[in-house]
Amino acid sequence: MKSLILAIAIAWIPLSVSAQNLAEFEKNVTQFTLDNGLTVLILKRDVAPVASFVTYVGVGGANEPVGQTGIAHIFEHMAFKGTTTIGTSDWEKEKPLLEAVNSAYKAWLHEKNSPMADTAAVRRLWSEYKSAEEQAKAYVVNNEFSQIIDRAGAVGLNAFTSSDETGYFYSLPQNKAELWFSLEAARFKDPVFREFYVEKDVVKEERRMRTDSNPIGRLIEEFLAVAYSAHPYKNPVIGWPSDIEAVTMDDALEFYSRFYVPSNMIVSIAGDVDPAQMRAFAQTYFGDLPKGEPAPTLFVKEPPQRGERRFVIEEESQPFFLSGYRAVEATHPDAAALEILSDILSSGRTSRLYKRLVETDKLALEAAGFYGFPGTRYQTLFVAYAVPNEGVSLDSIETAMEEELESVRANGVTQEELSRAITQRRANLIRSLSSNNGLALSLAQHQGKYGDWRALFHNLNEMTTLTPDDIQRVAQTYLVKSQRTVGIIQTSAGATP
Amino acid sequence: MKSLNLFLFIALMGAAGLATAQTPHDQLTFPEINRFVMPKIETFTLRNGITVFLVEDKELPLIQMDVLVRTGSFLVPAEKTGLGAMVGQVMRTGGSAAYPASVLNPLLENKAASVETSVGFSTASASLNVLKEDFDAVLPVLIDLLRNPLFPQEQIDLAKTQQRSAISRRNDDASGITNREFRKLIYGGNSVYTRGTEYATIDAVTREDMVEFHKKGFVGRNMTVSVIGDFNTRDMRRAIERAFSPIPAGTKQSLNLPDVDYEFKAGVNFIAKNDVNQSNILLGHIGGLRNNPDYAALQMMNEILSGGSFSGRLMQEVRTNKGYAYGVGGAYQSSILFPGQFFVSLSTASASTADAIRATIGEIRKMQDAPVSEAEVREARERILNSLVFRYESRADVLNERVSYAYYGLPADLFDRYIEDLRKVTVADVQRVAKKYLRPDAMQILVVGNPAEVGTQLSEFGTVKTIDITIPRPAQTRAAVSGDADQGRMWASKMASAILPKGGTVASVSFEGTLNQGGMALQVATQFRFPDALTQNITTPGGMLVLSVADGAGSQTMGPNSQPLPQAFVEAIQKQVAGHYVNVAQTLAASTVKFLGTEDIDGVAAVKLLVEETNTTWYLDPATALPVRSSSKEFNAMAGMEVETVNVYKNWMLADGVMLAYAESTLMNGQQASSLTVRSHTAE
Repeated sequence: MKSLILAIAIAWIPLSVSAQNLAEFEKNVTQFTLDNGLTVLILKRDVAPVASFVTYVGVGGANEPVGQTGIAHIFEHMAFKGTTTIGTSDWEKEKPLLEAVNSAYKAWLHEKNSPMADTAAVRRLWSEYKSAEEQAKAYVVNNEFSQIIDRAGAVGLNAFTSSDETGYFYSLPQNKAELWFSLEAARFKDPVFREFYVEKDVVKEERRMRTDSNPIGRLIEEFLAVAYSAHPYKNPVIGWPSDIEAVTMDDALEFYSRFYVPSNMIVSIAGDVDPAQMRAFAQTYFGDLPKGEPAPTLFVKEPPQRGERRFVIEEESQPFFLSGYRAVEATHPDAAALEILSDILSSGRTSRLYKRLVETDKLALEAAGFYGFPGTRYQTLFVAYAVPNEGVSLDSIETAMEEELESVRANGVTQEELSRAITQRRANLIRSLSSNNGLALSLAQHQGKYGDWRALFHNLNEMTTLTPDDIQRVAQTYLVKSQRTVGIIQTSAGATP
Repeated sequence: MKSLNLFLFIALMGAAGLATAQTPHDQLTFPEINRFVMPKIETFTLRNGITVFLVEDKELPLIQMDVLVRTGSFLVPAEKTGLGAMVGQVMRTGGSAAYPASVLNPLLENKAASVETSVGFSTASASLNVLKEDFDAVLPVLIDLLRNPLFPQEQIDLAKTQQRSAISRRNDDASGITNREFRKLIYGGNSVYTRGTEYATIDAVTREDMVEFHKKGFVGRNMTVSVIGDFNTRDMRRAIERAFSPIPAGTKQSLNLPDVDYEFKAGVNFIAKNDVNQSNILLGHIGGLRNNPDYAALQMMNEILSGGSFSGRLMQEVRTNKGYAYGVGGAYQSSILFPGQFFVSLSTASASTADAIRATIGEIRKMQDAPVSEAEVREARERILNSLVFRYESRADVLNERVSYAYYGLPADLFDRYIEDLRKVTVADVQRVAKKYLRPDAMQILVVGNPAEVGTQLSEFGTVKTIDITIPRPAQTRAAVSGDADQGRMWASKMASAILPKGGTVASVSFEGTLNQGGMALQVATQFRFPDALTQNITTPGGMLVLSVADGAGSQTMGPNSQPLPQAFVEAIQKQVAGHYVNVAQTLAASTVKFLGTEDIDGVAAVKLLVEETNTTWYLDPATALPVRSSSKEFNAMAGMEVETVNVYKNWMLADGVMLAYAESTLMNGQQASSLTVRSHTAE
């Protein structure tokens, strides 16, 4: 049986599909760069009279200044607040009131954090700020920016911020592409930070939901803080609570003007659109986005790790095992082998961690390893985690996990495993080509991260040249105990009186 | 090269010809929208009742097949809840006669083919997704899984292990708790619509149950097959006829679900979760059915209350204006098979729990008390009508809608009629349905939050009922213990008179002493009031801490500050009081006690007595009949496992007719947890 399976795997011709698809695909992609440096990608796909629109910005949590963690995400929220013409009933009157709000908040913030803060003054300054906020509200047209988009029949209006990047997206009926250009250009040329400090309450609620009130969220925040010493990957994208509180409108403006420059932005469209028309719109609406200075480069390099790092969180919740090994950034030549290694360890029911920890030993509800956390633009982690089954000790989880990794380091992987992983990746790539929104985002991300959207296909081609020795070598090189961080949730026994 | 240049030239010319000026959003005009070309759906029925729908889609070299099966977990008896999900899982993981799991997984994964099965509430499904050249090789796999699943015991055991683990984890996530418990408030705890798996229901499922469930449900008359992808309809039709015809026709399953016997009443419910700083809130009541003639007006009401991305009133007020929540939304659900819910859900900082609830209820009331504006209706209608184009984003969407309508027996023009109705909905209609269907005065409010932080905020909404979500412990895994009952009764009576030499009943025992716990030596004055109350004064470096449990509730007080104790903590104390040897001594006569022989403890042949009701084993000194040790195993929901607690008793002293061990230490799973040294005691 074994040889039959192997024959099937080898008989499957490795190169053709991706090469073929790329050629086919490339015909439908239009790419150009405006004079100000803005890259535009357009994929014509006329399956239905709709289109998806993405603005991708090469900025994320990793680019935030010290003391301003969370600002990339806060700006993302502010990008829905409108402009000097959208979201206001009278900009001339609103403008000074917003300045007053800002000054009042800063005065409060300053007093609150001063070494000899006067509580009465703090209280007074807070109420002054609140009344300034109340006055400014008079001219706010609530959520007008989003409402215009909603009324046009848009779906999926949203945005995300990660360690590496920020993305804004929604889909529209195909005949309304110009509306997207008009609104999108406006929000990035002419942003107004109205309701800035109220929105931070919303962000704090988001933090409570994702991190503070979620045991896994708490574990991950702690995990990154332990795993990284110098690199900003150590900070949560949502921001540390005191930073969220401390960020001001001035900081957001400064952040925006440094990072939201055309050369750091990519516009990506997929759907039933006319590329020539889109090109004209791009020129018209984004052409006058000021060129600015190139976005600052991050110089921080994570220093060598001197030994294994471990920590334990006692929680009321069930146990969890998380480990992360120092790996390399996505553009490093070893990244492809690490991706395939993660497939062999945990993709599907034939994968090693599933077979051992989930199926055979019944130790874990879930066990997986994957490359690229928290981001992949900079030196990243290869993560291995497991969700223990009821009553299973974390020790036995860790032992089994370690034995599986050791087996790869000592004995390598089989050609069958490697071929299977590549076949799966190829099929998954093909399956991913049927969603406008997914495609628009994916093209932008590959363009942003690798400097060429074709990496979407090229990365796979690179993988087809890998050998089992390559996989074993990266396992030996990177899955090293001294280069890992282990974080676990241990269930507290429950206090007895 | 030449053609490329030409292409560029045309593109540039085109761009030049299309040059536009920047236009503000409100002055834009849009061209006619392109039309969606409806795909042709080929449909036919096999002799065994299987209905088939085929749509060609050549965009990608893939084929997707879905077999929709008219069965579901709604058919599963309460005591076997979990059976449906387990059938769905093990059909696939266990493989079939021709493709056992060890062959199946590599066969599929080497081709990057996906074949999956699942059983949901009112549907089951089997699906296949392959690169088109693999279709012929993989179709027989799907067919064999449908016809001849093996349900091997080892995969059943795996599924059961996973189900148990999921049960043990179900109280880890606050929003999961909120959704689950809110459904129970609406449909009732034992309803088919809310039943969840428990250790006992998982244990009760047998392989025979699974085989039977599959055999009855996965038959021709229950199956609808739909295929989309890069194929030729004629070939596909032939392949399906060949592959699916041998499936037995069986009996068609009806989808009649029980009525919901709902009584509108107001309720305020709280579930304590100590590790959160945010309250998860759900409030509402029962919803309605899809065939309601007011459906379109209700949808319009939903849209105004919480439609669009940021357009709904709830989002505007509770998030944008007040900053109370990151996400807030809700709807009056009109469901096909059984009444949906009317609900609003949100989460907010513990401190703003009441404010956020008040603001939310305010928005619900406003829908009834005042007409919405013409503009709101117009804009809501615009949002819905303009996004209609997204009804079909692919050929698959057309197919899926058709299949779903056929499954539930819905008229083909259902959606079109809704849109027609929607165009006619007026401001007055919205207020009318808000008044008719919403009952803000009779809503169930559920809050899952941190009791210490939420405090008494909820009392403004009514009397707060605390819901206990302690996970019922797994059924006893130990075999029935055979022991000597006569000797058991004799030793029980000896033990009782050893602890209570004067006999009679004891209402309370008080003592003073030192409690060593967590590395600290604390001075304590404790009163046990049997069977379930306690007061404990603990001298701490920060002052006197008073721990008090009575009438099922508890608090801890230090100076002027008092906080309620978490429910789990209260229950642990109650158990401790009930299980105290003095209380055990006075209830032994009414208990089932078995003599299990003797066991050597510190050089003494201790008498081993099992009290069945509490599953506690007592080890008695044969000379005095006083306990030297007790041991119990209990499932600890917080630890997610069985915890063995052992108490060691020494230095027995008598006062007020009650013997007390002046040295007592407690071990949990073999580790020293605490020790108590008593200085004096009294009893009443």
